[in-house]
Amino acid sequence: MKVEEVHFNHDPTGASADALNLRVNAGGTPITAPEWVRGAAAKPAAYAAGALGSNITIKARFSGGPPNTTLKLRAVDSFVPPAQGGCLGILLAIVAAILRALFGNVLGDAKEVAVSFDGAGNSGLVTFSLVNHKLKTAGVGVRTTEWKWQYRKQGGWHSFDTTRHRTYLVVDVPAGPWTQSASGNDTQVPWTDALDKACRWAHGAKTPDQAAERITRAINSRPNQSYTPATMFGFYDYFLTSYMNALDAGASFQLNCTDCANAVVTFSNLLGCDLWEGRFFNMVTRRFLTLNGDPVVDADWVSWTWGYHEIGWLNAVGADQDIYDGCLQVDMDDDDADLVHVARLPVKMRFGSTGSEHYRYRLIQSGAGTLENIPRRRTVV
Amino acid sequence: MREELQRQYDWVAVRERLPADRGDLFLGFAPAEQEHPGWRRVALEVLPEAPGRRLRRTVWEGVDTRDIRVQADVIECTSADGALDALGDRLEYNQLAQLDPGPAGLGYVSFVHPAGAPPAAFFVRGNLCTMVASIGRRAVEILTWASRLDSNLADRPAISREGVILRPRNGGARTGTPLPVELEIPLDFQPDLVKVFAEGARLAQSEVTDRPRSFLLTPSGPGEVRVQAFALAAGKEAVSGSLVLEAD
Repeated sequence: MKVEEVHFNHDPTGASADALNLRVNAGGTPITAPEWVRGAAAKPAAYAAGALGSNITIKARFSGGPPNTTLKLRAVDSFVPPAQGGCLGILLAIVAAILRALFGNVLGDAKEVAVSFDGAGNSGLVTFSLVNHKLKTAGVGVRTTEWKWQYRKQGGWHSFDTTRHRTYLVVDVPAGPWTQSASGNDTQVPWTDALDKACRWAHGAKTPDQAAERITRAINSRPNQSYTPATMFGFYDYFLTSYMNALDAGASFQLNCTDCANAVVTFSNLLGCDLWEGRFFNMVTRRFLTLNGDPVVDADWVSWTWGYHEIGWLNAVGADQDIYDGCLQVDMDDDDADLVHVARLPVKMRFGSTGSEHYRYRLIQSGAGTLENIPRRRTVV
Repeated sequence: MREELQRQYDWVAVRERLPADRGDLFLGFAPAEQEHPGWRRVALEVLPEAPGRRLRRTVWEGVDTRDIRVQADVIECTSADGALDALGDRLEYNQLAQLDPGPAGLGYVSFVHPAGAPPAAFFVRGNLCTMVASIGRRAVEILTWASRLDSNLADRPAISREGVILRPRNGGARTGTPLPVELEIPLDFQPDLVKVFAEGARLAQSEVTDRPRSFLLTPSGPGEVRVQAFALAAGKEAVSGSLVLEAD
């Protein structure tokens, strides 16, 4: 008996009982169920924790079963703790448990179901409920589940096949520019190429605030990057593919605030946050820590005369809104002239006006700093 | 481009620097390795831009070190006016409150980052808007790079064989009226770049395509209009064609 197919995104119109709509990147076509097919490379699935209801299901089809018979089938986690005694064994068990908790099975088990086989030993597509899963509690991540499929006979369970599944878990249904279009070839359906990065950067985040903070920190701290005033990754559309290529190339590249805002908002919203990009104009800045600068190096604390600055905004653009800025770190020390600097990454920081804890106060030395009330979420290409 | 920036850069005066009585058109251009000795091209991307434009991005490393890197963005537009709009967009989305004018002779119009900012130059020649920026760990002077790229665009091949056919569509040439001209390149010649130069007229294309088949010629005034076209491919002799018209 064999597993022939496993479906995770079996309902492209919903996310409360099954997986999200995905694609690999801008090219090609969407990833559709069945994500696991015997003999083919397995495709990943993604779940939005905040959207999931009480009954999460997968579907599967089988072959090679006993003709004209009904059997109870289930899938259980195939993980077996390392069997080694002594101190080494204890250490291995601890390491295995940690790795498993971080990256292991989040789908739980597929609860037993009676499956009928026809005269040729084939089943139809059968629905299984997931039990003992951690989809609502594990937090953001990319994890692998290995299932042992079993049938029940003579009071015992007997294994007959094994399947492996890669699963992304995000906080909530992705917000714009990402969509959950169920038809056509919408390139704004979440990209697994982008989820690979976002889920790694925000691993373990369980709320939108946590996810947005971790994404902002990640964008601010990528190696090989430095600041330029020129927009490098698009201002009509966001050159997400080009940005990810630059990250992967391992060579130096440059970003400005628009590029950082695009990255913060796009990757955060991929995880289910609700951020927007927005600009404000005309300012001379206080000294701030430049992108990838070293806070103990005074020369890395710079001031610019800017025509505009662009950042991420929570919910809307406005003085009373919270912001996320992945492009720089502000100085919380009040004396610009001395060598004492207290770096703070602006994460969920009130834009504000004159308050010393406000972002505006910490960034702008002089100038209007006029808000442009045009929130954006740029199309990814 | 925001009105505030248009006033700041005196965009009316900038637009007047586009030649009124001649035209250059560059179709399919991306900087080639043989044109930049000492540099190795490590990336070529074609990226979407605003409608009517296409961005070809190349990234270059020094042959001896990865510490020096240059990014050259060439935005192909339908016309010189379109290229100037693309330049305006780049000024709009440059955080600096003010860029400096570029050196005389770099394109029709050029701007550069001021001292203290990572080196970058922006210029328009023909229907192309180009940015050249130093993006490596070690900054390099980019005006030489940009000037070399600009010269390569403006140069007409010294040696070429006849083979490009330029055929105006029905109707005569009239001052101020765009005249479609068919562009026929020999089928067995796959050009990397097509250059078209005109005296007495401005040039444009109706859309940016992979294989251009025509362009638009708008006479600047009554009298003779001369057009030369070159199809170029690396390692091959250029193929050329010419056309002379009388405009009403």
